[in-house]
Amino acid sequence: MAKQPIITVWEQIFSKLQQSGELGEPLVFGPNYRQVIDHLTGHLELNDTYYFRFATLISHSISSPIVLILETFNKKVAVDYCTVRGNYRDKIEKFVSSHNEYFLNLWSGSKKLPQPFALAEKKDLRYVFQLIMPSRDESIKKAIIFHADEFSDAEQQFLKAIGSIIAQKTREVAQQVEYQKTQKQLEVMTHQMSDGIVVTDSELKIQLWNRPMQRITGFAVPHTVGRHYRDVLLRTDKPDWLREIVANSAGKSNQFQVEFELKPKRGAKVWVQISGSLLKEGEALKQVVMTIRDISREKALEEKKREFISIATHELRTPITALKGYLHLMQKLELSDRARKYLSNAQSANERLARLSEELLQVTKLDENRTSYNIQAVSVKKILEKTAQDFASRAREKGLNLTYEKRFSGTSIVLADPNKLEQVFANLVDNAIKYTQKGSVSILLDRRVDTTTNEQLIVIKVEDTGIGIKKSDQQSIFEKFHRTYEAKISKESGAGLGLFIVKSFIENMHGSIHVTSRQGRGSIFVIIFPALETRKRKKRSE
Amino acid sequence: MKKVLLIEDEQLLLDLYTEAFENESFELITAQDGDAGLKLASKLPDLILLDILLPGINGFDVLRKLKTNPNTRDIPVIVLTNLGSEQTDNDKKLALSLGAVDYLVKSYHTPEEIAQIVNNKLQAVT
Repeated sequence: MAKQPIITVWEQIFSKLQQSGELGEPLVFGPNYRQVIDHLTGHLELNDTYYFRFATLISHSISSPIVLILETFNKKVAVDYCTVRGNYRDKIEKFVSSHNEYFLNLWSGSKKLPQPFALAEKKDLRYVFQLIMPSRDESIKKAIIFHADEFSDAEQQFLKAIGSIIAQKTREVAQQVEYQKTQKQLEVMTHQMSDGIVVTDSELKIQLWNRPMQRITGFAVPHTVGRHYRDVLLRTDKPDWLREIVANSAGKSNQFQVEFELKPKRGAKVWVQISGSLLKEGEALKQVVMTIRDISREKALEEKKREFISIATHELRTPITALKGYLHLMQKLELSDRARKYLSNAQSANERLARLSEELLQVTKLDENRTSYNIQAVSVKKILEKTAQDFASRAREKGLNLTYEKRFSGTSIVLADPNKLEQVFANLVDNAIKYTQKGSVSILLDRRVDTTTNEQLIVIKVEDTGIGIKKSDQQSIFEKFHRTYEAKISKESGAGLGLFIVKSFIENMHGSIHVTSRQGRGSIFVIIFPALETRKRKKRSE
Repeated sequence: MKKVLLIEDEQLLLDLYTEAFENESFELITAQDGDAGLKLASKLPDLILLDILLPGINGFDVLRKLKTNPNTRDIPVIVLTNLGSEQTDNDKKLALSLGAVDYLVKSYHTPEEIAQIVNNKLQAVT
C-alpha cells in the first residue's frame, strides 16, 4: 500500500466536488495541509458566494489520522460559523479522543483488524474523510466517505462508522447554530420592533432594555441593565409606581396597564402606555415583562379633538341663541296658520340642536373626567319641588297627571352638586313625560335604611305609565348614544346621551340609579343617595 | 331717555338685541369689544349689558375696570353670557363678586325677558 501524500487526497476531494458542481472554481493548495485549511476557510470568509464551506483537520502531522469535515449550511450560518472555527476544532479533537473507546470496540468486533487502523497506533491511520452533502430542508442530507483505492472493506467500515458519528455530532452543532440563529433573530426582533420592551428581575432591576427604549427614555441599552427601574423609568408624580403595582397585585390579576407621563433623561415628558405581566412562582415575583408605547401623539390628537369639540359646541351656541331669539321675535308677528306651524317646528328643531350641542359638550367632559362638581349639602326635596313645578305645564298640556310626594318627615339632605342634581331630575321627568301618552308621572321622595351597612338612604323615584322599556334594553339605555327602538320611532327627539349623562353624574356624586320597567306598562327610575345626617352621626360615633 | 350700553362682539346677537329692543323705552348703544365698551362707558350710560367672551380684554376685566373707576363704578352691570351650563356656576360667582347686579345666560332667556329685566333694573336705579 503506497503512502499517498495528503495533498493528493485533497486534490481528489476537490476535483470531485468540482465535478459535482459543488465548487465554483478550482482551488490551488500548497503541500501543507494547514495551508489547505487556511486557504479553504480563508477563501470562504472572504467570499461567501460559495455554497459550501468549512473544513477542519484533526491532525498534528501528515502521518496522523485526518478527519476532514465539510459541512454545508445555509450561507449566513456558515459565515457565523467560521468565526468560531478555533473552538470547533478543539471540540472535534476532544470528540475524537473521547470516542477512542468506541472506535476500538468497533474494531475489536472485526477479526480482520488491519494493523494500520488500530487507533492505539494513531500514526498508522492514514486517511479518513467525511463529506457531508448539503440539503435545503435539513442541515445534513447524507454522508459520503471518500477514500483512496487501497482502503480495505474493514477500513471502509471504520471510515463509515467514524463518519456517522461525526455526522451525528455535526448535526448537533448544526442544531446549535440554528438555535443561535433563532436567538439572534429574537434579539433582532426585540431591538427592531417599534415598542419598548423592558424586563426586570424580582428586585425590579432591569434585565432587558431594548433599543426603542433608548428612543423613548434617552437611556442607552448598555447603561440600563442592572439599574433599578426607578432610575430609568422615571415617574415624577409617583416614583414607586411599579413597586406599588407589584404590592397591590397579590390575589389579583398579574396583568397591568398604566398610562403616565414619563420623564426622559433629557427634555420634555412623554406620554407612555405600559402593559406588563408579573411573572410569579407562587406568590413570589420572578420577573416583570413590560412593553412600553410612546403615546404622545395620540394624547396630542385627543387634546386636539377635545379642543375641537369644545370650540365647535361653543361656536354653535351663538347661532343657536340668535336663531332662538329671532324665532321668538317672529312669534309676535302676524302669521298665517301654516307659517305659525312652521315656526313652531323650527323652534323645536332649534331646541333639539341646542340640547344636543350641550349634551355633546357634557359627554366630552365626562369622558375626560373634566366635569367639575360643586359638591355641597343640598335638599333633594327643594330640587324635586322645583322640578315638579317646572314640568307641571308640560304635563298638563299632554293631559298627564304629574305628582310629587314626600313620604317621610325630616330632611332630605345629600352631598351633591345642586345644578347637576337638577339636571338629572329634569332629564328623568322630561323622559317620563315624553314617553307617556296617558296616565301619570309621579315623583316620590322616600328614605330607607341600608340593611347591610345600616346607612340612611335618600330614595328618589320617577314613575310613569308610559311605553316602558324592554328587558333587553334596560341595561343599555344608560350607554352613550343608545336609543331604544321604541324611542326612535316615537316622535320624541334625543341623541341618546341624556341617560348616560344622568348615570355618570349620579355615580360621580356617589349615588346610584337603576330602572325597572314593563313594556307597555311604564317605568320606574330609582335613584339612591346616602343621606348626609347619617354620615355626621357616624363620624361622631367613631 | 335712558341709555343702555351693550358690549357684545357677535354681530348676530348684536343685531338680534338691537332689533328686539327697538320699541323699548331705552336707547341702546353698542360696542363690539372691551376697549370700545369702556370708552362708551365713560359717557355714563344708565346700565351696561356685558358679554364675557370678548376679543381683547374679556368681560371680567372690563367689569373690574368699570368697578374700579369712580366715574363708572355705580353703573349697574348685567353680565350676559353664552357659556355653557357647566361654566356658569363659577362665572356667576365671580361676576357677582366683582359687582355685577345680575348674571344671565343668553340662551336661557328670550330677548323679551332680557328687556324686561333691563327695564326692572333701570326702574330700580331711579
